[in-house]
Amino acid sequence: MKRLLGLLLALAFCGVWSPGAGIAAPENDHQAGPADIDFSRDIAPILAANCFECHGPDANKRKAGLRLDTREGAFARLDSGGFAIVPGDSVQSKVAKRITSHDNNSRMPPPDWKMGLSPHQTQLLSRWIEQGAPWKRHWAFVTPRQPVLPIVKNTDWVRNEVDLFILARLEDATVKPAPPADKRTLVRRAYFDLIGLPPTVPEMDEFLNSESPDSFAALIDRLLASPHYGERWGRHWLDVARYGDSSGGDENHLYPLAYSYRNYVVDALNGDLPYDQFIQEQIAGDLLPSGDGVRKDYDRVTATGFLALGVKILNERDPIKKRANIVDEQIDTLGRAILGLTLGCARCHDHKFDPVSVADYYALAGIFHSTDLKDRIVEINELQVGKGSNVKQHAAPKTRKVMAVADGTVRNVKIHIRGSHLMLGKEVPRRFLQVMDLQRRSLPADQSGRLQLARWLTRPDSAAGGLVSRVMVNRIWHWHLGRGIVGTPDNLGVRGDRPTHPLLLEFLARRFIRDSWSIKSMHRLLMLSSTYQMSAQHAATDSARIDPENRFYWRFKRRRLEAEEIRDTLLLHAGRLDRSLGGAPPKVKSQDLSPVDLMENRRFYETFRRRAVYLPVVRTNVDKFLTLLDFPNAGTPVGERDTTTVPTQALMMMNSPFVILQCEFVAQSILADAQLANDAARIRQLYLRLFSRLPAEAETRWTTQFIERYEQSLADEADDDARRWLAWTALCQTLYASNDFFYVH
Amino acid sequence: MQQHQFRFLSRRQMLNRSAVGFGGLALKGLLSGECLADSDLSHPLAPRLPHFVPRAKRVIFLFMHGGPSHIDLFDPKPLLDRDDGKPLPLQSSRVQANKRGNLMRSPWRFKQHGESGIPMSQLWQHLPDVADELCMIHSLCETNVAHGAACMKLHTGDEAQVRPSMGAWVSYGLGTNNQNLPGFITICPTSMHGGVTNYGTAFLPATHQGVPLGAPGYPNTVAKDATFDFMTNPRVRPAQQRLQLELLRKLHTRQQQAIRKDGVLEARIQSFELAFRMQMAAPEAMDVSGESSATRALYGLDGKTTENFGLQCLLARRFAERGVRFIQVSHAHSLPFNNEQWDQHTYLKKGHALNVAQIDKPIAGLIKDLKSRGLLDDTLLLWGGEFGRTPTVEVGKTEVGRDHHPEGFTMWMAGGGVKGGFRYGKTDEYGYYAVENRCTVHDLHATLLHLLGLDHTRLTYPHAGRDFRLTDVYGDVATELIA
Repeated sequence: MKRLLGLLLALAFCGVWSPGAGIAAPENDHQAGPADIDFSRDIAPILAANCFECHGPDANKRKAGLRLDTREGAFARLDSGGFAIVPGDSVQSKVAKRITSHDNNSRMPPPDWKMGLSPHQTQLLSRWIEQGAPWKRHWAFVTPRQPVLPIVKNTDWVRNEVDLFILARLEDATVKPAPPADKRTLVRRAYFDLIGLPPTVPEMDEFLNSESPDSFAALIDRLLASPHYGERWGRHWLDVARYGDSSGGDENHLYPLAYSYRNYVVDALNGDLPYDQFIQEQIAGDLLPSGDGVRKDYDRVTATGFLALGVKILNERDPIKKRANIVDEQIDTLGRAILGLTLGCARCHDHKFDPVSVADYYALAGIFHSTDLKDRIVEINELQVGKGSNVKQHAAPKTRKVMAVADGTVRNVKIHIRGSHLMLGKEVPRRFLQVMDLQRRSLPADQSGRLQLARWLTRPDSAAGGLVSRVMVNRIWHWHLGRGIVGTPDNLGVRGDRPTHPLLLEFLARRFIRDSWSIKSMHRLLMLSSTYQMSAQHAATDSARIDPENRFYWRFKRRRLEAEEIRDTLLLHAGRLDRSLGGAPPKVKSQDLSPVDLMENRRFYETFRRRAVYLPVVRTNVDKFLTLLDFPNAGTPVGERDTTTVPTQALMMMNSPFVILQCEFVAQSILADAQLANDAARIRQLYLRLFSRLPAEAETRWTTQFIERYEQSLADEADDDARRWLAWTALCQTLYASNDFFYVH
Repeated sequence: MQQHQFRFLSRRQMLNRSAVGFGGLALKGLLSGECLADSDLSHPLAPRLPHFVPRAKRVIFLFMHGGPSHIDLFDPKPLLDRDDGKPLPLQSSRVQANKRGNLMRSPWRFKQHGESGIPMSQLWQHLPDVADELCMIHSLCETNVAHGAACMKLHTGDEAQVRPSMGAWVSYGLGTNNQNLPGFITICPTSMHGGVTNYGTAFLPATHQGVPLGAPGYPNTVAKDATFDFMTNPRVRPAQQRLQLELLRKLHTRQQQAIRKDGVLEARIQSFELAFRMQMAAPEAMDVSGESSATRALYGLDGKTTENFGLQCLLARRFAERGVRFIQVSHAHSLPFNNEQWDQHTYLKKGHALNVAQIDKPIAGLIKDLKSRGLLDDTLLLWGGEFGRTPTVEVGKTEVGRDHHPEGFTMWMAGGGVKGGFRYGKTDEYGYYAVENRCTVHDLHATLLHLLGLDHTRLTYPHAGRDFRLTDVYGDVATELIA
């Protein structure tokens, strides 16, 4: 019986998002027949874009007492009599009348409204009402359920469940998946994706020589076990956690203790700390029961640095405003980083689109007003001193100061009217977001509620836990496949993008929780799929015609290397990368930088040979090499970095002394290699090192010519060796500027 | 209305694919597109039509770091002279930076200038020549009394969060007329009080970032030493860089053939070509050796006190001529006897006298020069600091000075569609609170955008689930000051 019920539920769910539906632009999708109208996909976005501003969650802006963001509101009797929506009866529904009215005074949305309805949208709304106006809550606020696995034709292509969902959609659209990537391409892709560095030539050879069918799975395991994995994926999380080593705002003081949080993140990723614990520790690590023998108090307290290291206006002379701004920054970060919701919007008014009220905001604010920022002294035991650095183990316990938080005076706060701390409204008891907390849990009077919040966010079978899981699997997908299933990884709310593969998202969210929130298991699942292993090449095929933007993943989405990958790889190939782990960042200056300070900072950045993740993130004075290549602004959570192509990047690749120096080292080592008999062999070696592939015949010819001409241009340089070295340096620099190097294919 | 929205939508869609670099041409998420079928991407920094007919095409913002004292420069108060030494007869500010004493009269006398009779203190020797070009705004009013937050508010419209700067918004709204130079240049910026944030893009595409001429510093870089980053490579000659570009093009062409026409890859090649051209254009724009001695003298390049700021102003004119959309000039050095340039908590007399002496001739020269070249009509000048100074004396200082004062202070505009010889707004009889035509920073921004032909409520960018504006949800255009 239970199984039958599950199946029915799953089928019902399937009906909401049948995997085949919605492939063409939504506007055409429904011309097949009225039965296809789906509230979440077709109706909710129209209402959100055109109606919620005046008939949405924001009680202060609501007009005519009508709210269209809830079922109750939409079906309620209007103040003026009659009903906005009468299910099944568009003639009696005022909404249907208003949207088709020719009278400018009664027409909705009003004639001067910025969006407006297309004739098709108008029709859709009317038809939906005729069909009984079925209503659903926004998908993100509903506990995820296990979807039925789709049935596909080309079962040979399917390596795991991920492929079922992807292929079902492709087959529905008659799009053929691209062939698998060749081995070299795949290995380079896996290396960059997991550890942020390319394979060395011997590492590549080792893989190519392996006959085992499981060699790629073994490679993934090896890379996941590398300590460099945590550096790469820890950095992803640091983007989301808006990590910085200085306060950023008005005065930009250094945060000399922030690095412990950074190291904590790297270690947590390396240790595959379950994501639910990872979140709990960052919100309330200091309050979790200690002495469970698994996690150290040091790590747990350090984790709360997450709440402490935001941008702050330190010299704000109004202490109440200062505190309110810090709390706001914490709520905004919590919302976008963990819940994929823009909670910060509700500081001044009820959220315009998502069901988050101003009362919700100040209920959460109470939790953080009851929490003090505090540098705390924690005991580091021997194990941790030894870990990740070459420091010898000490017998006696050592202590370290970390940037953290602690419960302070517990208090509820009053609503700040329009966000102003000078205009206070009614007090709101501390609690969670009501839309995902139907029981309306209350919090103990003697605790801030952070611990309860942390647990509420990670309850496996709940709406909140489900959303937290969706947000993270969507991020992991985004970082591997180049675009999230939801294209706005920091916003899964009503105004975020709709998922391209909703059932897959539900599947992954469930799987993530089932696999004990293991991020490494998720990597294996995604990377071992055919979806991940496809080629990025695209000849002019039907697939390219039907789905030019590759929304359905019929090929791998080429991605530009991130700033750190480029920098670290330059150092690696130059033979100058220092692979040591962890530790504290050396001091740089952050406040009131003089031109001399700036030069010193830059000199420091350019001579720092460890991986970029260990560079200090001095807000507004991050290493320019990184910022020009779209290192994110560390002022706010960033789940999706920009990928710009700007002439300033080109200028840097052409003229930066750092780049040129690394090229000189590469040239030197190529020229000094006695095993390379001639220029063709040297070029071959250079291609293997820089691009992990062999040069084509034409490439060898062009690069050889380049070397000759460049040497000729140096005719006034007497020294043959110097000419050669300069020419090979210039060649190396040109190859580094090329798309072959700049992209993961 | 609707049409405008659609225009913006399509621009937004374009920007989602294509961010821009200075000089244009950049693609965000470029590779997503790998096959942007017809790579006919217009340059997102290409000049764009405003919402309505503009009065100004570009902005020069003369930023006075530290807080110039309105009551000692432009806003004379007879009652302050009368009540010198008496307690302030008004409710004083809720939040104050330092301890404030009694009223203190200005040490300088005021005179009216030009046909319009704009009052200026006797510190000004050259600005009176162009009094009839100036549009005084006496009623700036803000709330934050700390430099950092006030600077961020003035530059970005927000005092607590990282938001795009006004120059970035203008670049985003209008693009630029010279694809070989940045759309937004900031000459000798300060690293203090928001620093890079004050000319940053935050979530706007990176291309709209203000490009510093001279590393941002405290004190700021001396103008004659100011350079753009990565603009030269002393070891490689242009002919050699040409060889590199040729090879790069060949390698990319091969790749293009392998994976068919690709707008993104083409964009990368072009970004290198453009970078190559910029290496020529930037030094040309910065080379003032061809300026006549009369012009040099006009800006005070021949005088020790004026040469630094004079060169900054002259460079601003040269960038303006070459189509740069937003140019900020920062007066942000430090003084030997106190800190930030205009921050005279102490040594008011010495400090303000020196500060005016440094900028007076260069600014008057800039206005005269722009006018004689026919550029003043469509160049909007904006002068001012992050706040004014109190009419009261600061307690416990051996040399008198004044505290920060955001509740009422003066900025001025000139050129680009504003009424010349006009006084807008008023402070009360002591110069404490703005009382007439109160003008917040949001109002100032709304007015500035309006003069550029942009409706501040429609210049929006989608971020974090909503559409952001420079003016947040505030801002009224000060229509009365528009000519």
